[in-house]
Amino acid sequence: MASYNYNEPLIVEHLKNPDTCRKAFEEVIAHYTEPLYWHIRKLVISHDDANDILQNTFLKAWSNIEYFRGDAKLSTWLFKIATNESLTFLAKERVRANVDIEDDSYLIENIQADEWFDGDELQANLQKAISKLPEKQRLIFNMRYFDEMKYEDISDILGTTVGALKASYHHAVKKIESFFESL
Amino acid sequence: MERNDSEILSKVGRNPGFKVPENYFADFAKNMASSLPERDFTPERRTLWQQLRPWVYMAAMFAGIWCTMYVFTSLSGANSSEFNQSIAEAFSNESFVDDFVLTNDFNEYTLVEELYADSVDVEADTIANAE
Repeated sequence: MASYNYNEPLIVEHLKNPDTCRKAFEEVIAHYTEPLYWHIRKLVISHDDANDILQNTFLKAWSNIEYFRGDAKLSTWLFKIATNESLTFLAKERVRANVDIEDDSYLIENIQADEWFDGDELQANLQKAISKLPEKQRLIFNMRYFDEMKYEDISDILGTTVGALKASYHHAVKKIESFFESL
Repeated sequence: MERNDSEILSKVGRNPGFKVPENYFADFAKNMASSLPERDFTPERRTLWQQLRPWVYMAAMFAGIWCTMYVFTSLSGANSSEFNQSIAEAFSNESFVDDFVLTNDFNEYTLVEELYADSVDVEADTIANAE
């Protein structure tokens, strides 16, 4: 994440003003590129796909910036767009690859040959275990485990109750544990 | 069980094992900012018809409701004995009122029977009124 002084309330005010909107949005891009990229990348695995989806996310946010009124947090709004763009991409890929919604393991078939993956065998196996989770559980596990997001923040982004998120995360961890035991 | 979950995941750590090209994030942000399309934030000018359209639609809706109610009222009113000339005349007859109204034995069927018995053509009067 960028280390310069990023003042979100001020940025949000500038986003509402047509004269300062573009400049403010450029600061938003600089600030949110990295967290949004990792959020997308963990869902779609491929660097190139994550790069395309990140571009689409910012373009969509920019073309709808007048609808952002500051009622929700800017991060929540951007993560929602990024999540929707990623899930739409995955749905199209599943149709193209003719696979089931519950199993995206085809995404990581050749993960260790991917030039943008430098994890060890344990990390590759964790990605395999995650790819076998149902889509929602995968999303929740990534946000909670890797990004260490608060359940309340995940709840705002996904529109799911905190209780359901906790249950979902618990099931995801159990399944990952079972996957490692079966190795 | 929670402890075992943590043990397995703690072996793996929180690094997913992905990497990105050198200076990827800085380059991406720079390129993305420069490639943003121009936006026109001036509010779209609305034509006179676009401004009037909701009011015209609302007026049409009320006119429709008024017409519907007018038609229903006219249809039900035309067949009512209230507009029947013969019955109206009968009500001005004191003995009729005594026989049928004050004795609380008023019944339209009986009334029509009585009018027929008095050779009054109720149906012809009703049709004439409706026209």
